[in-house]
Amino acid sequence: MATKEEHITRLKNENGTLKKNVNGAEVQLTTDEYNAQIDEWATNAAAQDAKDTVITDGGSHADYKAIRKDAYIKAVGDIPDQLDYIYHNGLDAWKVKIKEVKDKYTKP
Amino acid sequence: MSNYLGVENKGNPVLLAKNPISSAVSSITFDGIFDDTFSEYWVTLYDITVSAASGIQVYFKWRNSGSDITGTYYRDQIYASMNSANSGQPGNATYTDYNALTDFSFGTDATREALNSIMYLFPRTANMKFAIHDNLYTADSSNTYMSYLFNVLDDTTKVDGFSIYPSSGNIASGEVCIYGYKK
Repeated sequence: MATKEEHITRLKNENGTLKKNVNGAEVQLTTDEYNAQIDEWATNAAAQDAKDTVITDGGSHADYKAIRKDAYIKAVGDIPDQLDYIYHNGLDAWKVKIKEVKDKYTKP
Repeated sequence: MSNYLGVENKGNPVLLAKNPISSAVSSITFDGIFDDTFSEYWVTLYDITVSAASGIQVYFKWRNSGSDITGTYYRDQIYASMNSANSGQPGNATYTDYNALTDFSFGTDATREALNSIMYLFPRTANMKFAIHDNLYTADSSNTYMSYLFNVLDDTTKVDGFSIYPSSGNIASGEVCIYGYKK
């Protein structure tokens, strides 16, 4: 997981200059606009990294509901899949599987 | 017998701007494009791609007189994946100074991740700013999503433009068209 400062360095290396498109015309960003844009990109990239880390490794995050919902569905399937799992494995096995997801993604 | 189509612009949208993106830019902005000639507008985003490899959202914000309209943007959304069971109706999300058009991150992998969207904009009302976005896009997960979201900004300014931009990195390609469709 890269820090914001590492993202700033990477983004500046990748983008020596930046342009914006205004009413169909390309305009180069001023130095102040450039630095503000790089800072915003780095902030967002670092935040996304933190979210991705929680999705992979578990833990808590402000986007708990979305993360848990996505991970939950991937782990146990939708409701018909879960009913099928219960039919084949029983309620106790299903509870164990659900608890693994709940324990991995904790409320912040 | 009169009807809406007969009395209101005869059902013919008027193309006001067509902006193909020929090289990478950090944002696509239209200023002074909305005036009281029309009260309602369509904006189409065609095949918008980004430069970053993954983890990107696309943001939207209103503008007026060359400046961003800041504040709390509210969003309600319905989404569904075309190739997985992932779907939902997350409501009452808020964003500061922008709204998010895509919830599931995307980038530039081999599945040709891109965003296509039709936006229904009502920029000239002196009440709250409403917009409706119909989106179709392929995400990092290779899932293709449809999403239908409502974008609300509690600001009474009659606005004349908007901007879209990625959460990080450039927009690489695509095309934006703006139509006026109701006078």
